[in-house]
Amino acid sequence: MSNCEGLQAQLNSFLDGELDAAHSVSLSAHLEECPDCRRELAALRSTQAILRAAPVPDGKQAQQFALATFRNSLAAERSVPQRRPLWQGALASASAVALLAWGVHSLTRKPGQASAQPESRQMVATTIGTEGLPTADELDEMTSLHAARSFAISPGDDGVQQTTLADANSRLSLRSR
Amino acid sequence: MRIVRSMSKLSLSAALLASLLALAAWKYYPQAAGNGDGRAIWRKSLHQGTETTMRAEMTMTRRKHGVTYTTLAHIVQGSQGRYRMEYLLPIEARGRIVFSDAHSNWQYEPAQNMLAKTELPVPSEIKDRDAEALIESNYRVVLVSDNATMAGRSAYLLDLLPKHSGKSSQRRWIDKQTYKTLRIETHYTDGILASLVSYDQLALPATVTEADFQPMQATGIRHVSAPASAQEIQSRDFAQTAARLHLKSQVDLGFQLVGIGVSTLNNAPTPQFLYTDGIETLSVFVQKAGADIVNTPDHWQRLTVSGVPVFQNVDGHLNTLVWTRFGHRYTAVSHLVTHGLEAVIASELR
Repeated sequence: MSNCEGLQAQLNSFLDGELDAAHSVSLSAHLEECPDCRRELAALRSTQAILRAAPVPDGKQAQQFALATFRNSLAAERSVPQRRPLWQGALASASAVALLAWGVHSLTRKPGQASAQPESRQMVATTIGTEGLPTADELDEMTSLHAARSFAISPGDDGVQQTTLADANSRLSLRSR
Repeated sequence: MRIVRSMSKLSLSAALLASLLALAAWKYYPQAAGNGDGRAIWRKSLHQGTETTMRAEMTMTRRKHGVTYTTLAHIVQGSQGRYRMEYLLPIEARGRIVFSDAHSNWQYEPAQNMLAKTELPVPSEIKDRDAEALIESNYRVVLVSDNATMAGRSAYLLDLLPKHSGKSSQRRWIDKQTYKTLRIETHYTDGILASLVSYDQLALPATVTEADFQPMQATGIRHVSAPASAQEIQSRDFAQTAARLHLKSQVDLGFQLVGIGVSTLNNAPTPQFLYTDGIETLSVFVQKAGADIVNTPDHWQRLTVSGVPVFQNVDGHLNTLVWTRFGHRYTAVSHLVTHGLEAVIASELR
């Protein structure tokens, strides 16, 4: 499993032709033997194709950023582990705190304030939705997140939980995964 | 003298009418004066009822903008929040399986032969007693009947009547033996049925095993997983955090902010503010505003709420309102009935 995880991290570079020859040969050999990694590679390829086909009005830089970010999130996906090591839990918690801080900070930063983020990140943010409104996929995702959080706070009310989950899941299409 | 006699007759008639009305009210809501029984049954349904295992066929309908949406699924309920749902309707969801071991949520999509795992969010700080206090401050729980029948079982019939006007009421049938909720009807203020959840073909309590709530082991299934979203803000910081994004921690109709988390939507971190009145929930997602919303696309309606243009999505089960302010785009999603959601958002925008 750990061997796969290490090699899967190289798939992005492999697709971009940025991996050196020795690593490319090694990765190719592994791909011949490993159906999980082949599926991962196929998923990355199809994601690339979808993102390249999508119109990004803010130009190539924003498109590249969107592609890189999406790849990173895909790379974080992995086969469901049997048991998560303790250090991974700690890392996930630290990441969650960082994400939270980034989320609130990025939205509350004043327009004229100096930004440490790449310009392309702000450009991507302006491409969200169609005609300024959330897309169907975004609404699906929000519905699902609303259900998950409602589930977590609902005071043991299974009727409410199931209503919320059933609604959310009847919309959720996983098209974006 | 004639005037005095007429006034006496009038008083007598008024007294008679008042007595009849009081009798009718007493007959209809026998526990209205002291609804302690209703509250006790309600509490038991929240605690004891959710620990009872069940197998059933679940039907859920939701009426919105003149359309009724129906979900039909086989459901298995375990203790401690574990469940499994296998969808029969809607057609596009047939074969979908959603299940949870109370720590993670899995969704199997037959069309893609894909199993997606999502970590459930960190539980909110809201405690059972706080939630119950919130419910009791926002709803009257009334025992309508202790001799009802539902799905062939003897049941209590409860009404949850909102203390704020403009909110929907709920009618619930609670199994007398196990305190499991057998049916929930939500009614608009005009009495029209807004939504319904009911269970049929019940096995209660049912035999369930760990395998009911674990991922299937069939070959060829692609496994994907998404990281848990963050929910690390302490409740004492809610008001300040909300204010930074021009939101409030207390809004109309008795809703209060009980959770703040951040998830990644369209590759951007997106804060989610969760409000509840104890029963209904409402999420507001905050993103950077995109292009100006000039036209109203299909499946959207343009409203004006507190003087601000607000767009309402008329597709799907949940009610959704979107508005932009201060360079942010806000999206509110909720099961709350449309005019209720508008009232809550109006207080956010004031």
